[in-house]
Amino acid sequence: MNAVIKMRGLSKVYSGKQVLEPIDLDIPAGEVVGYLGPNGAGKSTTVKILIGVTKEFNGSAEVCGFDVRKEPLEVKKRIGYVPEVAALYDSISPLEYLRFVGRVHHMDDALIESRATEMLNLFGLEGEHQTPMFNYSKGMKQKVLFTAAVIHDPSVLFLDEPLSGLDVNAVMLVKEVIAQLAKAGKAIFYSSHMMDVVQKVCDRIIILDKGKVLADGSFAELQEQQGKNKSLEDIFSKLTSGVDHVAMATKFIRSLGSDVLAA
Amino acid sequence: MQVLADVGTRLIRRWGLDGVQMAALARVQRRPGHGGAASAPADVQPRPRWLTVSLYLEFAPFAVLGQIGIAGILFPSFFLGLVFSYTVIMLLFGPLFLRRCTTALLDTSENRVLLHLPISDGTLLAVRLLSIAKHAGFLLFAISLPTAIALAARLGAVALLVFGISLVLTLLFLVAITLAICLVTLRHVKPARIKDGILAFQAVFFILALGVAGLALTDPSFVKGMPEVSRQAWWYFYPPAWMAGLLDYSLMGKTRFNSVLAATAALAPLASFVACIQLFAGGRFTELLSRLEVPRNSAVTPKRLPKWLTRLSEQISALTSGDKQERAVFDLTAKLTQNDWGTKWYVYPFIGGALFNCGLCVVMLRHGPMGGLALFVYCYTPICLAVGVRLIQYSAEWRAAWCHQVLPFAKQGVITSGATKVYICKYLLPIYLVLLAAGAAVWGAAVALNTLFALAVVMLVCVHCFWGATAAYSKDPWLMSKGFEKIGNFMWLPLVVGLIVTHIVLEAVAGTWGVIGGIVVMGGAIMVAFRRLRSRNMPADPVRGWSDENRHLAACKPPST
Repeated sequence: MNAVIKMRGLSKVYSGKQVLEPIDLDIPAGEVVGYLGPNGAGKSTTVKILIGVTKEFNGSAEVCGFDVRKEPLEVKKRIGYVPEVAALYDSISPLEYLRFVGRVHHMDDALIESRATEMLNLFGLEGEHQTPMFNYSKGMKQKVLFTAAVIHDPSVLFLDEPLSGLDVNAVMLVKEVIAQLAKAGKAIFYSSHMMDVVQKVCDRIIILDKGKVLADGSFAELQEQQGKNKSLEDIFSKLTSGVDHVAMATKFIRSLGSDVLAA
Repeated sequence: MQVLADVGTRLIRRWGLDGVQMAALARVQRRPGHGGAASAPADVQPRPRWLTVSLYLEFAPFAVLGQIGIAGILFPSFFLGLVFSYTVIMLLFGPLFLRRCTTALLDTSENRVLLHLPISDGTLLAVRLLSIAKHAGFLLFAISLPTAIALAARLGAVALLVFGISLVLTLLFLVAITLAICLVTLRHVKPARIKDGILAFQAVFFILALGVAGLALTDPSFVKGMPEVSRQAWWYFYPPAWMAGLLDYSLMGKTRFNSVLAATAALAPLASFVACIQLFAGGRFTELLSRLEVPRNSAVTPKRLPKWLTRLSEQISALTSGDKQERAVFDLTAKLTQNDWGTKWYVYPFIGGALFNCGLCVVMLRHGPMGGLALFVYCYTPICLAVGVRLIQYSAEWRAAWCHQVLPFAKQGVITSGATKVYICKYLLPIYLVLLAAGAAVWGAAVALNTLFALAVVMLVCVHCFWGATAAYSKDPWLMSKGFEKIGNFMWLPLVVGLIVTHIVLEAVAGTWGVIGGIVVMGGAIMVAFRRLRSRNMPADPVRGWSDENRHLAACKPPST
């Protein structure tokens, strides 16, 4: 197996607190890996290390054979990234933004133009290419972000909640694009809270909690370990929380005063 | 005393000030990492001791000008010496304070947390004003210290006391102006255009202030015919003259002229301050804050450049950029500056001021030779524009700057050099083209050459000022004033003074050929500076520019885990 993403003892300590326990992972080309975990589990920290933004960490990490600490520039040339929170320059148009991203990747203007136009049209943004993104909804911005992440044909895609805010048709399109990119040999690191999507899209699922990997395998393998008929949501809840949510909700309401429930 | 206390209590009750709420708000705003109007995150808090020393050192060359006025070296009249000192103080302090005051007052980042709570307008306004009082007092103290020392040495403790009172009155007057501008804008400008409206009013005010000061200080009769000038009625409308009149009245004996000025100095700032607070405390302040958050669908669409200008901008970008990445930054920054009101707020008044002074010089000195102080006022009025290049790092769209960290820039310096080139091409070159053309047409080649030298100085200062920046449009604009106070940020002043002195010496000693030689050397220095700027690799900034809603927590927690 030729790993495109390789982590060896990857960990991070922040202000004396271990936010990421040592992780050893190999992700080959053509695999879609779902990276799941509750808030604060260390998902975004892992992603930021792998895309070469955070340099203070222990252990080693390689993307496409390049050390992310020593050669972050080479890593950045080969990856695409969709961040969790969609933030774009509102006062420029999607085409201007994509031209900026493409030029930084040293792409030809003509190629940027043709790819951007085609991709934006497929996302239903025809006629909006030259409009400033000021009035764009979250979903429209997410489409631009996704296009910006793939426009330079990267080998590895890091997606942090890429479907957030998208309409149903766009969700179906992105899911299919992810599947076909994986078939074309791209590695996809998919971080999300949407269990049903991860269950359908990902070949392999990694569940993380408090910086520690709790489970790693295909959905079928996780079911074998945790219970045959369980959904991914059940498995996730069991591994990361293990509490009775109904009892917790009752307790939550009771904190308002015992008469609230009685009423 | 009792009367004053009664008036104070009545005003506090009338404005609905709530001491408990004020203390609670002030406590929250003092916490490190709080990003609201009053403070900056912990990582941008300057070290006060070094800041003090740095401010004194950096303002010294300008503050000494005020001292000259007080010491009477240039001015035989005590009153006009004071007018000169107060003009210098107000021109140095006024723009900085107006900017800080507006940004603190109009901060909408706390809207979601505060506007639904039962807090009166008076309380909210008072907390915001108090939060900038310390900053303003410190800055004013740093600027006016040499003048204060000169006054105390010449006239004793009473002079110092009256001078201190005049500074407080100056502060109140500037707050009143800020509030009045906000109030007028709120009443007469569409919600989506409020920021643009405030920008326009402040620009007009600043151009007027700069123009009137320029008129006063470059008019030869100001120095020569002093006693005549001091009887002119227009001094009653010139705020530095009010304050000078107050000191003149207290220390040099009572005349009808200085009595009127002293009364104006005492009453005008106080009355305008109380009136503005009174008007704002009745629900208008929260109305202004909520109007500033215009819903997206009713907001004004960002302006687009005409096609020919877009083409010209792209051609300039291709001509000036070293490679594709720098060109990408150039094009992006050119588009962003089009709609960034923070940059416009700073740049337009100075462009207006420079054009105003250029027009003044042409009108007043067109029949005679151009030289001396007038020549340097003509050439160097746009120097403050150079400092404004730092504004390119601050944007309302700073959240979008995460892409600068993720994209494969060969060096981070490419971002800063591309952005600096936009600033120079868009703002500095056009204004200097006007100055060059007017200088050459009215006074001949010598003035044009001196203007060219000044342009080289301004460009070099521009590169210097953007040296420590992380990226273009990557920081929260509300941290702008705090960022400006960081140690080293005022180091442009000694550089400017050094280069201007070199210019004066070259012009005086070697004449036109000296200036030409200077231009060649400066051209080389600019090229070297740009090359070094491009090859810089700045440290990654995990907090600012990263698209993280909880950025304020990032100072205490790992970034977005």
